[in-house]
Amino acid sequence: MKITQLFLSSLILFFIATIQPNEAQAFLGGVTKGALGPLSKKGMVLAEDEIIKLARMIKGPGDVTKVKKIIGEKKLSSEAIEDTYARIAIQRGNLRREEAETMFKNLSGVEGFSSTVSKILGVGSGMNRGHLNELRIASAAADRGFKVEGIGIKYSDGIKKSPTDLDILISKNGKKFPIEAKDYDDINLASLSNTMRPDMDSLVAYRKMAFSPNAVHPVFTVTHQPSDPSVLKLMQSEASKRGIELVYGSPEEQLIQLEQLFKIAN
Amino acid sequence: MSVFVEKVIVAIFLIVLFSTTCMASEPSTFTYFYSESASVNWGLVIVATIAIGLAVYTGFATAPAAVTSIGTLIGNATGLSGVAATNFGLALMGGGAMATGGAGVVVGTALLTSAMTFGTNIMSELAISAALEKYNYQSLVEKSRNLPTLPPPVRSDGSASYKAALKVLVAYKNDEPIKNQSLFREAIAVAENGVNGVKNEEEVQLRTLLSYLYFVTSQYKKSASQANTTIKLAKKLNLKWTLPAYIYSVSSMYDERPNFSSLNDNYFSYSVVTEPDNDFVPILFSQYMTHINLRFRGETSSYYRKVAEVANDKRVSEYSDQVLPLMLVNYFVNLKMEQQRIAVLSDSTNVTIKGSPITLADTEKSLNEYKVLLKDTRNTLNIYKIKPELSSAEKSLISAKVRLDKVQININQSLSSTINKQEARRARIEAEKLLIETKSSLNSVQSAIDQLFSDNVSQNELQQMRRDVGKMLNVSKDYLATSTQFISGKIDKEQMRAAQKDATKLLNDAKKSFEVTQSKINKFLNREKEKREQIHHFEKLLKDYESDVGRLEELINGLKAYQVQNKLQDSVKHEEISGFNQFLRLFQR
Repeated sequence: MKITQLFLSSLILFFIATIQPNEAQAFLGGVTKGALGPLSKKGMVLAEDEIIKLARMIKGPGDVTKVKKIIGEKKLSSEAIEDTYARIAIQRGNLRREEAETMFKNLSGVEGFSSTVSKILGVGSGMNRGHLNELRIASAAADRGFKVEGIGIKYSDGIKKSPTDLDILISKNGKKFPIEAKDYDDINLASLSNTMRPDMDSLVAYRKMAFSPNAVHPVFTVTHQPSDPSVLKLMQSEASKRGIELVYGSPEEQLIQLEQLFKIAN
Repeated sequence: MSVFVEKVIVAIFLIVLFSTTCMASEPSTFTYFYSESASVNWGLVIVATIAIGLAVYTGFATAPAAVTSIGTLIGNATGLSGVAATNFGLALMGGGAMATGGAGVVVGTALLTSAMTFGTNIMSELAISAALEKYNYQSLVEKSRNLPTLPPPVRSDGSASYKAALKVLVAYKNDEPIKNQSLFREAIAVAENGVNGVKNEEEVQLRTLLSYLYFVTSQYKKSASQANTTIKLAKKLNLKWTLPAYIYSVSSMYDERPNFSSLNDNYFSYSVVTEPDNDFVPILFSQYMTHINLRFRGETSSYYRKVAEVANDKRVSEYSDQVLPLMLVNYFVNLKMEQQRIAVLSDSTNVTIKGSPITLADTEKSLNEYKVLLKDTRNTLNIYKIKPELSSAEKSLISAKVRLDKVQININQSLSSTINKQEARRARIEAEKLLIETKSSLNSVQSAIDQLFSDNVSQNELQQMRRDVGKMLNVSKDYLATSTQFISGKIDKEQMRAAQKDATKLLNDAKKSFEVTQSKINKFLNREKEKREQIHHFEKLLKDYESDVGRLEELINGLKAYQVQNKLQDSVKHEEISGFNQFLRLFQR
């Protein structure tokens, strides 16, 4: 090769290498911008400094409501609102950038996505954790070809006094899987009676209300198995007698089992 | 080393790589597509090649040493070194794990890590599919969009339509994949408009571009069809058709019922063996296996077996040190997949899953797949370890040394005759000193090469080394011949001085040549050491996976026992109920 050609090539290369962003991921689809760069690919979204400012406003209970009000006054598109909430969650360290990108790709436009993301902006980890778990299950479901119909869908089960939330609703080939998702480290007899049974009853009510109940397969998911074997047995018995599939594990493990359940149901 | 410096190294390496392959003129070959014919217009090459080298810079590079060391090994085999080599190797390894894991770089890294470090725990972060999916073209296309693909073309010469399409691609940027997709679509419109206005080679070139553009926009049906048309045309014109052959082999995999054997034997194989010195070959293997992982998830073993046949073809042996470890990594990733699938399904506490014969059948299928993968991994590892034929190199080295020894004896004899006592003594001392140096260097070279004989060494590197040693020996011989004349007194003082000057120059050349060869050998020995260590790691890993068969069988037996017990309980219940009914009937009578 001619030396001049190599020299010239190196010069061009030097120039291009200088202007290349360090984290370029060509040929791999996703683009990793700065940690707070927009997730949305279209429309107007808030600048990074605005996101930082909004994130810093959340210091205690009630601050999320204030921030939501400010965002509401900006008259952003629904996608831009999703983008804003997700980026605030990233800035606050409640959500990893890469996870947010995946969720945004999988769930943008899904009913309840925006409001569920807004629920993970808070200060206490307890509430954030449960909603983050719902988002993770929904995103994993979308990754595996399920259609995510909604997250945190309100409905009246006829049992509880006020409308209740269906955590996640996914579907595939005409079969619907309403999911009640729990992110608990352990379950004891008290939580079984106070939370699990009523929520299982709500799931049964949801199925009964459906246009074709036979196409509805209610699922109750818990991130960790009860450490007490008697509670474990009771949970199974409560689920079985209601015709509910009980699934334990991380969001990914839950989806692996859901896929298998879907296969068996076919 | 800074990221910037690494980028420069990768790019320089790849420029050299491409510039050496600029001679071809067949428009449907990789060499033609990815090189520039006239003037310097390396922009796209640089962008594209930097991207290949650094595509996973922020992703897979976070993997532990057990993974990055394989990346380094593969990268080093291309001639790169340091972080640049590691990143290049990781870029080739990453796609398969991403396709198998079913999601992005994070999951791909987690899968690679767990596959290459072995463990029996269920990896909760892995998106390992328990159920094998039914064929769904659209879903596969969507999933393939995130996978690594071929970079944009470099060649700007061609018909007006070709040039117009290329002009659109000038705006291509590494970090804007969505924008790039719209550029590709725009270029498709331009190329489609022009395809009826070109003939012969120009038509082949434009259709090759068009099939490429459909391919990178994941329009597999169109890219297969266009590649097929291009191949027919190229055959008619007696041209090579390696690039459309590759595109056709991958795109056609996305058919509902692809004839994989035909695609592999007639197209993929052709694309890699027909174009010699195509440094895209490892990238092609990497991406081909990536698509197999996605398209045939959960049943890759029979497909891999066909790929292994191509990888073992002597015509691609130049790339064995990149392709074979890549294959091994893919084998381990798939072994991990099957191991996880069995563990997750048999470990489920869900009674529907545990009690279903479908689950049992799935786990048994996975175990069979696991066993076949184990066998084929072992075969590939054995091939990776095989020593090439080295006897001819050894013979030539020995004969060269014998010649040199004769020269030495001759000089020693000459040294004993007197010309001018003072001059002769000085000459003898100098000659002996130089001779000792020469011999010592040669001995070092020989001992280094002797050491190599006991290890694995790729044929092309060995040939290069033989050439270096031959050159070095010739220089040494020339020097010694001149010294002999000088010492024997067959030339006068003036000539002696000139000869001495020449001799010193020749000696210096010889010494330089020794140094170069020795440095090459040292570098090679280091790489061989790394390879040996990696083979040792692969061996250990494979043994771990082999010894896990028993545990997996036990898990499946547990599932079987659970289902048998369930059946038994059901039949007991059934008998109890029918017995009770009988009793009721008797009582009613």
